[in-house]
Amino acid sequence: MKLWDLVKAANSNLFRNKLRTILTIVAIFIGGLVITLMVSVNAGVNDYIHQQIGGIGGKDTLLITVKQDRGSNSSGPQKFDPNANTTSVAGSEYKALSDNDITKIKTTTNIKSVSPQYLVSALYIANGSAQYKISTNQLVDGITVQTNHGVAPSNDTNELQMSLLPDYGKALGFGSDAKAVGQTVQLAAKTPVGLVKTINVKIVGVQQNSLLNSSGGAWINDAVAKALNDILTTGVPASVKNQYLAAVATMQPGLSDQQITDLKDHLSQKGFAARTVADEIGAVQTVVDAITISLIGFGAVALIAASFGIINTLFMSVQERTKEIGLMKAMGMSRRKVFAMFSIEAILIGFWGSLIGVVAAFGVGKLINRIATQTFLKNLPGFTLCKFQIASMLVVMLIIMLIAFLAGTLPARRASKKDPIEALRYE
Amino acid sequence: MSIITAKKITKTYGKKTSKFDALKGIDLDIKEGESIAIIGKSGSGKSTLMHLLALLDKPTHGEVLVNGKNASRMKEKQINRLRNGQYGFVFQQFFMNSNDTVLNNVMLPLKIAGVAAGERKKRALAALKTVDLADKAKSKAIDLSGGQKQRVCIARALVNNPKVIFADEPTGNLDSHTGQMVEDLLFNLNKKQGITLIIVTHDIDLAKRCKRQIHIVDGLVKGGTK
Repeated sequence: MKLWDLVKAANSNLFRNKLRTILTIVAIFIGGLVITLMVSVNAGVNDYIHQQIGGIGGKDTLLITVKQDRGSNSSGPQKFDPNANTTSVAGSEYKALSDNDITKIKTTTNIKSVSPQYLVSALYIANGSAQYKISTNQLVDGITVQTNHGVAPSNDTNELQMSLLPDYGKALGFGSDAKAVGQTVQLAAKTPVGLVKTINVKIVGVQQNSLLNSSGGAWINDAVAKALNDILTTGVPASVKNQYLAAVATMQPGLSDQQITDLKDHLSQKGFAARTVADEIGAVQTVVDAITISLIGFGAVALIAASFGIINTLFMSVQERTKEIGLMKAMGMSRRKVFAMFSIEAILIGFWGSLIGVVAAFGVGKLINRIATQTFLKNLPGFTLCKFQIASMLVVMLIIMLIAFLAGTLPARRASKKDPIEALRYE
Repeated sequence: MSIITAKKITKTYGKKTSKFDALKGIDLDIKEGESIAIIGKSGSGKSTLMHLLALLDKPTHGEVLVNGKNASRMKEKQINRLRNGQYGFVFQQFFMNSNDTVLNNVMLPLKIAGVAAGERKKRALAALKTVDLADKAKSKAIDLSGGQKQRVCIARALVNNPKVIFADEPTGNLDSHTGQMVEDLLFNLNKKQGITLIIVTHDIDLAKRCKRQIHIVDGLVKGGTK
């Protein structure tokens, strides 16, 4: 019997008892639907994270801090080190990077360049008399800033550049966000003695809200950060003037994974903690993966339950078709072909169930996306919660068909072992 | 030329105390183109004999030769191919897929053989023509009368151009008139196409139409006829 004939025969046999087959398919469908949806959510979230952090230069970027010691550890309170360079953030003393450290990092092999991350904040943003509160984030090379208008600030220039958060354009009196692009605004900061000074900064773009700056930070380039730092540390002795919470280093391009690991180890020996963008993404992804994988687990449990449905359905079918099997064997159909015919029936149950499941998941996903973008993801443009990839949907289908096949082997084996004489006996 | 030869075949079911000898040593030689009736009361072992001759079962002792070759030395694949290509089967209970069309039922052996769809249809229609049911090709098997069903089964047995047709009580479920038609059909095939007929029956009239009658009594050939 030819394969295609077997498939056609199996499919028509399957729908001889429509209700029973459909019920079995429904069970598979539920598992398929859940798994496909979760895979798509996983893809959607991870894709968004990549979109936000990924960027093109991202993979050559290292975020470097000083290794922190906590106030106490398992070996009890730690001795205070008067020589340590610390800075205060939110009530805790953190070890900060000094200019000396930056030089050390810069001279490390395989490091191409380093840009220090200043501990700066702006008092307000102003266009003439209109003054608004704003929080700022120093742009890190490797982060892709999604903009609604204009472009992202650049660190490759000495010009003071920043991007605005949505709605600031109108508030600052430019008429709209779009019209704010290209305009100059003032950022203010206080000197240590309380004098307010301002710098002129050019608006190069208006950024999208995103998960990464949901705290509401506007991106400023290195030049702005340095200018703000100059105000904030006016009159401070040079030895403590420049303190950085972190530094962003660019590695030589094209390093192997091993070289990157070696570099991180090397920096670690010098007392620095270095993390690649991949490490940062990895941390977020681990959480997302853990959640979605556990939900996929529920789908898998549904599938296992459904596969017992397949076993049951096919056992009944084998029982009902005993005579037919006997006849076909008498006519010279081999055991292998009988086994194949019932296995194909099982695979087809998996195929139909998973196909309907995937299609339904696609529909449900679209619906969820539409609702999500209008409600809880309203402020995060570019975030598609459910992202469907043909390849992963095919993989889901193939796995479900494999499970169905495995479930079908039991009844198929029984069918293939039927003795034609026993099967054709009619008393 | 001998097409099937049985040499001292026995068949024993069960073990020890529940042991039952269905066949106790049968010698039989069937020539190509013969028509043979295997007669006997129910439980005499006649169906068992047919199963062994058709290679549906293996004898406990003795051997079955097909075209001079020992069947017990053949591989399962060869036996399957032999049954599929050279044997046709007609059963008292028809054994048709009643929800399928007549044509599909007749095509089944060709489907198993792996014949291409177009060729399959052509040959099945030709076989249906032989049994005078070409007009019923599209009907469902369930809508046919008993006589028509058995004729469809003959068409199915015929479709692969077999050398031997095994018929197990082919008229057992039919009234005398339709039974007669089915008999005529079978003997016609025997005469015109030279197909060897092996008919298991307890109907004496049918048996008499065959060239040779083998009486099976308690697992042995009565009178020892070969």
